[in-house]
Amino acid sequence: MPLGLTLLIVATILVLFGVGQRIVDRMRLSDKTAVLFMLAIFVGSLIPDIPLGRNFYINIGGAVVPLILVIYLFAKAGTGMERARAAVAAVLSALGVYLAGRYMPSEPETIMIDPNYVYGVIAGVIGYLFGRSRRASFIAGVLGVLLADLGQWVENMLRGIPTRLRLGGAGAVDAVVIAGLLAVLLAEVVGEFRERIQGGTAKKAMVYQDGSFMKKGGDDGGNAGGDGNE
Amino acid sequence: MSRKASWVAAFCFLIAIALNWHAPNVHADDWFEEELGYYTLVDEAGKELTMMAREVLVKDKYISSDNKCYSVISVDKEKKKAVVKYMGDVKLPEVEELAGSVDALAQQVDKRGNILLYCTHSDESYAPSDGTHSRPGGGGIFDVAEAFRDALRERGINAVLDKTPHDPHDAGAYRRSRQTAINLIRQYSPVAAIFDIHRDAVPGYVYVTRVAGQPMTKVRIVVGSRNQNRKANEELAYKIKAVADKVYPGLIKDIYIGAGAYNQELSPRSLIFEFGTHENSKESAQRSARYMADVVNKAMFGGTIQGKTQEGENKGTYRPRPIDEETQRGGGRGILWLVLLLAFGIGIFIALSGGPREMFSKITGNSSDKDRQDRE
Repeated sequence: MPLGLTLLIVATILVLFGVGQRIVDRMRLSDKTAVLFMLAIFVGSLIPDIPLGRNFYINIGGAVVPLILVIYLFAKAGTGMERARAAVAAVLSALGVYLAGRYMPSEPETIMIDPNYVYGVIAGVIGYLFGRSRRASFIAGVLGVLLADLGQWVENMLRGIPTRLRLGGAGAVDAVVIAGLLAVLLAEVVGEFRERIQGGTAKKAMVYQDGSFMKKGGDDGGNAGGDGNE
Repeated sequence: MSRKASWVAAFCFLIAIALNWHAPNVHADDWFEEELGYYTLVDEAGKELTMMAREVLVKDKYISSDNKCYSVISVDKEKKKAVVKYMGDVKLPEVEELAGSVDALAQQVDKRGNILLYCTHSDESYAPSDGTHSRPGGGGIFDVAEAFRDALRERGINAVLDKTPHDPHDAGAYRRSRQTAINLIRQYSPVAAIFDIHRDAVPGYVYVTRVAGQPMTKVRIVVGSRNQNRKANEELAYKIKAVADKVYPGLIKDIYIGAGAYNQELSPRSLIFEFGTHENSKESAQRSARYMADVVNKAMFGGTIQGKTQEGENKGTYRPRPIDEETQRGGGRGILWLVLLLAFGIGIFIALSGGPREMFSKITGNSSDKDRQDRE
């Protein structure tokens, strides 16, 4: 392949990696951990899908690593309320992704944003509305696409169509990873935007403790996740 | 935003999606139902140029069989009519014509790289042959893709067809086929090219042709413009059309540059081929797939080839150069596109950041003590 095209492929991978690392980094992960997760996603993408049953495969980079990150973030969530919000957001975003796939036009050119990114936006909107944090948005983005794929596969089986379920099959460029990262980015953008509109952070009355903004006086309330700024 | 407001907003969002159910359904390649129709492209004088069973948007580009480039300037969604403006002639790569015959000049060409095939709309079928226009789980399109694969193999190319179905034929189909495409690329590197095989959904007569004295269907090439590989893929499409026009005139219908990505961001050598429509017979599409294999082989890897007129008479011997030997600007354009996109992203990031110090702390990921004090 000519040098120009080879460089184009390398540049695409570098941009994806760099942007991905910056986004993962926003979720209470250190720089090094964020690099490690992005590396795991990229290297895992190169490994063939793992068969889990008849017509059922899972990809390490596209599904296993994002799921590990989801579990880690879920465990690290500030409060029970944040976990509950993340779970509800995940289920609703799965519904959103499923409905979007079903009822959006079937050709990518008909919608302003490519379908691969629409799922991220849907999961991001729902994740942000319900999770109100970057972490919950990521959880909603990743689980939303995975659950929607699972749902579609089950529906196909019931209809007697022998399709193949490849969870995160496209690895680093699967909608699972894109949705997770885009959801965080959206939470970040919306959070920053809101903060600027209201003329400063709403957390002036809060204290920064254990990596989270907490209400003063030990009340960890429902807002510990922080409005898009956590 | 209060919790109640969040619930209301999310509910409205889901309702909005669900309402799409009742919106006019757009099923692109499946637009053969009377009530849905297809677009007719006309020039500024009102002369009909072609039909398109996919959504046509302003700024889409259309390169006609005689290599005239048109740009869509207005779209009437009600009447399903798009007006295009002539932008100039497209200069296709040169194809060298030789004096001798093919046998005398036959040469061994090094064919490195695999050609990978898949079908995003795996249900697409040919009504006269398959009895239906759509067969979920495995349509007649797989038979056409098989004919293409077999013909490539006969020419010494390692062609691989993945017959994974991507049903249903909805907005998620390209997302599912993306997994298939990546899986193919992962397993069969180095990749010479990756093609997504489709059939169109406009009236059948639009695609009827004669190539080398045989009746068959034309082939439309579709390039996605919404990705960094657009220029590189366009160059490949031009190269294929240049070879086909010389060797098998009548085979390539046209090139359409639409607003989708069609998973073409995965490789700077990826295209969609539309073999005929649901109204053509599958056998005629299979015939054109075999001729198309000949063209793709020579366009990718070079070599000598005997040209034929549409009536089947010999019309000269040609020696296309391998595409890697053509001057290509697609790579540089793609990188420039990525850099601009990245700069745009960074610009938004800076705009959202309060100031240079905050921006710097966001980029490095480290908050300074001063930042922390400011926050508290």
